[in-house]
Amino acid sequence: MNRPELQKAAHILTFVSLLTGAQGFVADCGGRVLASAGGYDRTSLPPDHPARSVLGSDSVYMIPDESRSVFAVYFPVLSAGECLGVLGLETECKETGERLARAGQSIQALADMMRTGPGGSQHAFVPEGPLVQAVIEMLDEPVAVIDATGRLTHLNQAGISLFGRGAIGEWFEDRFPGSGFTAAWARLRGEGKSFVNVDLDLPEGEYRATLRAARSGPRTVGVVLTVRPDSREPGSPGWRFTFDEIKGTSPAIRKAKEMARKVASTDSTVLLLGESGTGKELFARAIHGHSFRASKPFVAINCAAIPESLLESELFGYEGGAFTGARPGGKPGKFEVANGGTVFLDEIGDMPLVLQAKLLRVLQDKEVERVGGIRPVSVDVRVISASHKDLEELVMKGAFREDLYYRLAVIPLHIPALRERKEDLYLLLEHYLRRYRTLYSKTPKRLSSEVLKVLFDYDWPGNVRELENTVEYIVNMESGDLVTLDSLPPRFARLIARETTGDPGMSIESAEADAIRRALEIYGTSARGKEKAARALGIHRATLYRKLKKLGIDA
Amino acid sequence: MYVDLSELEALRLGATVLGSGGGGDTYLSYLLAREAVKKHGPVRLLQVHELPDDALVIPTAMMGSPMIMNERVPSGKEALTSLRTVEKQLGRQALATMPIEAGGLNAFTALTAAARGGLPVVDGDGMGRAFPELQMCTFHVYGVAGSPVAVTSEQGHSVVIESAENPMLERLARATVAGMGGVGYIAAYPMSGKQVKEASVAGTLSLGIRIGQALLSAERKRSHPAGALLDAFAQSTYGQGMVLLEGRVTALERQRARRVTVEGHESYARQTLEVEFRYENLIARLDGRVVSTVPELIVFLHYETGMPLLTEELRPGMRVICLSVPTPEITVTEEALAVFGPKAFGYDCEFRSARKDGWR
Amino acid sequence: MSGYRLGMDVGGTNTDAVVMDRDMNILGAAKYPTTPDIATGIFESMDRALSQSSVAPGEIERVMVGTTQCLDALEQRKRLARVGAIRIGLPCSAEVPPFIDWPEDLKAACEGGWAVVGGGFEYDGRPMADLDEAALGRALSEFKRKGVESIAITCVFSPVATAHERRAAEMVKRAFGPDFPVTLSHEIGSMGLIERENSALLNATLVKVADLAAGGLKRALLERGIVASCYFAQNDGSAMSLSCATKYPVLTIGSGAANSIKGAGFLSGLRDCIVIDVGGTSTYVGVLVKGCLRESVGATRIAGVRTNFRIPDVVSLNLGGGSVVAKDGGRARILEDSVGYELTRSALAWGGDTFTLTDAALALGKLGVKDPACDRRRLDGIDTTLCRKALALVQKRVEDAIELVREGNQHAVAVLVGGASDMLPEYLSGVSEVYRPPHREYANAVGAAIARVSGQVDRLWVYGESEREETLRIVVAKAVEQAIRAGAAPGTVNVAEIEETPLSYLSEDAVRVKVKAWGEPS
Repeated sequence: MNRPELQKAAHILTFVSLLTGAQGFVADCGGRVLASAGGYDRTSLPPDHPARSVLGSDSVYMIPDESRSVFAVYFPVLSAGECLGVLGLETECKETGERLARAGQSIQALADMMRTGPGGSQHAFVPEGPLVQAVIEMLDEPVAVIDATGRLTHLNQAGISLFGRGAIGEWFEDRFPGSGFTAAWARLRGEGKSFVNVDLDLPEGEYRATLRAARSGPRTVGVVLTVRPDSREPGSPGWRFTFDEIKGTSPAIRKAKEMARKVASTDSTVLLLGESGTGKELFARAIHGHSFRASKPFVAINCAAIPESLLESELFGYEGGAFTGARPGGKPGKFEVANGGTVFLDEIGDMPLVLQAKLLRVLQDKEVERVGGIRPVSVDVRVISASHKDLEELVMKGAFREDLYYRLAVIPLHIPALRERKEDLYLLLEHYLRRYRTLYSKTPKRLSSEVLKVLFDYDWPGNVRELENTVEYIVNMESGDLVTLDSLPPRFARLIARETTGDPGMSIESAEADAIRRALEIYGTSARGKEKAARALGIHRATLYRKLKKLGIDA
Repeated sequence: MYVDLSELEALRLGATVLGSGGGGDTYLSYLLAREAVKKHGPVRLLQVHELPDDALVIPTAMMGSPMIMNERVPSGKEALTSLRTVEKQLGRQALATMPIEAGGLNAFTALTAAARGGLPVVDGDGMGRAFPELQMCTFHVYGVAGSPVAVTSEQGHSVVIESAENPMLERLARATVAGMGGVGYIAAYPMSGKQVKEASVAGTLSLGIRIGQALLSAERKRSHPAGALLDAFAQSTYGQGMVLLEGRVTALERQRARRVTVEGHESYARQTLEVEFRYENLIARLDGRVVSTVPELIVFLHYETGMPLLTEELRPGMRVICLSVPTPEITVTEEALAVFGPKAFGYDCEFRSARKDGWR
Repeated sequence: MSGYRLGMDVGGTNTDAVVMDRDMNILGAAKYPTTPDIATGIFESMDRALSQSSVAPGEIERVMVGTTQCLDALEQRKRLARVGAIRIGLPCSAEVPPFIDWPEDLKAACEGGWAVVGGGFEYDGRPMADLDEAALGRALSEFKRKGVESIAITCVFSPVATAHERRAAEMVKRAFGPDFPVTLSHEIGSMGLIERENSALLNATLVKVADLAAGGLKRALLERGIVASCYFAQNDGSAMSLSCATKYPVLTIGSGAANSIKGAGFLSGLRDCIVIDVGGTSTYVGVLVKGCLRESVGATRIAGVRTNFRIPDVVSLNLGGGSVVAKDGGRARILEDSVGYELTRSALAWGGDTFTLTDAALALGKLGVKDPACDRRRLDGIDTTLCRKALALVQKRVEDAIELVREGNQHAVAVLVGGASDMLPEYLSGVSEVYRPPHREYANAVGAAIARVSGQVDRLWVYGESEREETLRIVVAKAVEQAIRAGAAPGTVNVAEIEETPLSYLSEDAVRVKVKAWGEPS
């Protein structure tokens, strides 16, 4: 209720006014206290007081109360059909009483006013204005404000990237038919809940969302829809990556995560150093996800994977007609696409010197120039780069620009190799075992002590990525519950041989041959199958072909 | 890694969470471990993979009624006596001890024995939670012989039991414990390092410590305890769990059917959760549908304090958060479920995990 | 029979008295600052309430008293008796000695030595070992040499079999004299050796305070010619006779909160509400559910010591009318200190030099104090902005506490009681309404006055299905007997609750049975 207003009003009136709560306790009382009424200050209404009959009802009560020789009118204060209390006006003067009775409607309006408005316990819903926009922008998860008719009126940045800017002003059901929104809304209103959870079926996938009602009195004036951040599939728009995705509790990984978390809140350029397969991109995504740029794009590019000739246009874009085969309208580069967000440059050590110079200019001037372009475009991006090469050494050799190096390495962050954090091996093994046995609908598995020993003794040059591939391989190979040495990829053969003695040469070869045969049985002998098999075996495709030839496997 | 006083304090909460409503109040066994560590120094925690294959490990535990233990306070040396007795039987010295049950007070029994005997303790156990019977453990599931079992009372009486059948061992040991006045301290399932690696739930003590630390830090920061707990589990071999319901206990039956009913509130309004328990919480039904069963952890947290609750601490009217957390792969294989899945507790339903899919 | 009763509350700041008739109408009520000797405060408030009610002292039939004296003594580590601890149970339990896990300063203030001797029972009542009387005798002479003032005896499974505790008590009486205070653990606590022993030790250390309070009360009553039967309020809101209270003072520890919640329920006529009691030194926020106190769950720490008796589940704030307000830059701060019963000397409005919350509330016209010694004009020129900030801080802390206790009930009514509760505003977040019942400043004393007398039995039983009915009948009879012993009128006693908990992880069918019975004071 709007207390201060009422208090003021009550005290200037020439008649007694009182306001009670739902159980009949007098919250406020003003005006000239009537001797006959005995005053109401801070007490409960007497059990036989006429105002009590209004409590819990929705009808106005008017009475010349002859026992107390007062004329009185009592109005229920209603909210969502619920009686919050009574506003009562009493007078000893018959004329005033008649006036009060006539003014019934305006007094009911006063009662209505009490449950809304600023400062009251129920805030009025203001469906428009920059204020709403400002409020929802404070939230990282996608938020949509929808008015009483079901029309989208506001989206925050994360909401725009999920629903699209074009959705603003449209009816939600028209824009996203069959999403489940309308049914959820019906529940929200029908069951009188303040919020409901719903699985929203959007074109990009299913999202867990919460619909919260905005009510003004009994009326639902709109709903606010928020999409739960943990509900999205990785990679979908607006998906916010967190450090929880990086598994591990070893001191090494905890330190790296802690450092990265600290760095995330700054806007500094970060250089991630670590072997391949350690999860540098996960770190980059998590840093982005924890920064104020979280709701803006994260764009990753692997400098080693793109031919030198194309890298420049990939990074900086090109103007129409810049080179043969180019799109006529030109194309924005990664930096432009990422505007406002983060650009992740993986394998930065493989960037040609020419481009290094251009990258340096982007970092210095915050402007990119498209290939063949004339005017620079200003961009606001954070750059996170990564390399498994020793950049300082490259600098000494002259293969990497020193000035660029210092620009990029404002905050260098070491991502530990798997062999530096073998404490996490159990957790990671379990994590991927569960993931792949579910994916391939296999039974739960445990590892034999021999396998455990081999896995713990192994050096893991390919780090977590190699571990993941190994587990995927194991899950596919092992049909029983206990994972034995036979189910390990052949590259472990040397370690196994050392374990089991016998003729090492023979056992490696035959183990390798067995493993390759079984891998091909699973993945098939097509080119794609072989590629998958190679990945599962942890060897390069070319190596696989070579070995097939050498071992005389017919495939 | 070493277990010192602050780790013990955290483990009190973590072990209660792993107890899944059972496993007994941890206060007294914590005090005993604390006094032992104060006197003999911190206990070295051995990772399972660090064990040599031929090492001898003798697990230890308290067996019987926690309420009687709280009355007949032990001296703290009983479990170690049992361990030494088994050593004598085998004619070999143990390299380390380990808990049979990391959930509840038994997380501390092995630590007390380790501190007093100057032994390291293996970071793992045979249940990954709490169970009521001696053969309900992965040791038994994966073929470790329980025998010889030594049972020692507070008065220093010791009994050695030998049997080739683990369920028989449970019956004999239980009878011995009753004869000792309701509580006994046992050493059982002596095994090789190789067996520990293949038949134990690894990392459960350090996990208990991490869970406790997460709860304590959530309490300090006044952040949501369930979130802290689920995050700690997500970073473990247990994986991502979930909140089943937040609400109020509306009914509690402790006599024949042991069942607690919770009505959801706020965003869980109009949902009803029923949890069947015996000593531990075993089956969770949401609106009549089974959503999570033993061996998954079903844990009640006190809504106001965020602290884990034993089933005997539940009261009608109490506000609680109920969570379900998956347990490691070794506890959900077909063989394991045959020994401690829902059917082993007499429920006519299949094992069910609350987790939406395998890993996220 | 006139049926008049006098309810009193001896708090840290004020001593309140109410006179009520048979139908629980309040005839007179008064307040006076608590005095160090207890008796003067009792006199003054009692006289005023009596003269207001025009009931003659001789017509008072029952006097019911609630006090926080015991809790205050523990919290302040003052006036505690030096306690010797006897534990019977060797060879069990040697590793966790008595006083384990106690706050060091409390231990220093009351520990007088301990001994663990042979003896004790099994859970079915069979003796585990004979009582080692020789060792006990040696321990007692050592206690004598050290000059302990009180002894607590705890035996393994004494809730099942009491013989060893009783025998040890006899030996103590023989060595120290018949009036020497002895606390037997089975009379106080339930299952759980450490927790029960702690309760017994706390009880033993409180005997001096309890004697002082009871002595003050008796003297005051005698001098005024009141020959009524006398009761003390205990943790669950029920009452026990004066002689019981001096033996079991620890059971009064939570009575302050229990009385205010029950009193607020009575004054408001509500069975479900949130109660906010703002006193001189502290504020309690608690809940009444269907007319009953909500009790704490699991082990409770009292003055830092782990015990297992149940106390009312309240949030207590170090905040009251006597709390000292300080200026911290532009902000107000409420210090942990309270001027307590020295309010009428130290506070600004009484001409003192300490700026208290009462001063702030007076300056803003929120409080009316009837004491002629209090002059609001002394507060002229005070920084009213600071006052407003201080009261806003109080509101914030109370609202936070409401959030903790309110059980998600959006439509709860908050009942404000206690002498300083008027400094809280008309509206509090977390509740739908705020109600200030008449006589709210006397809620504690009213809560004491309306108390009934209870008896409780908490035992382990090993029974088959056929014996269950029989066993329950025995336990109920024992609880009723307890209630009558505590001062209930026979014939008025009813069973309030029966709780059966099967013992976990035990092959035999052992059940812990708890029965509570209530009756009107005789």
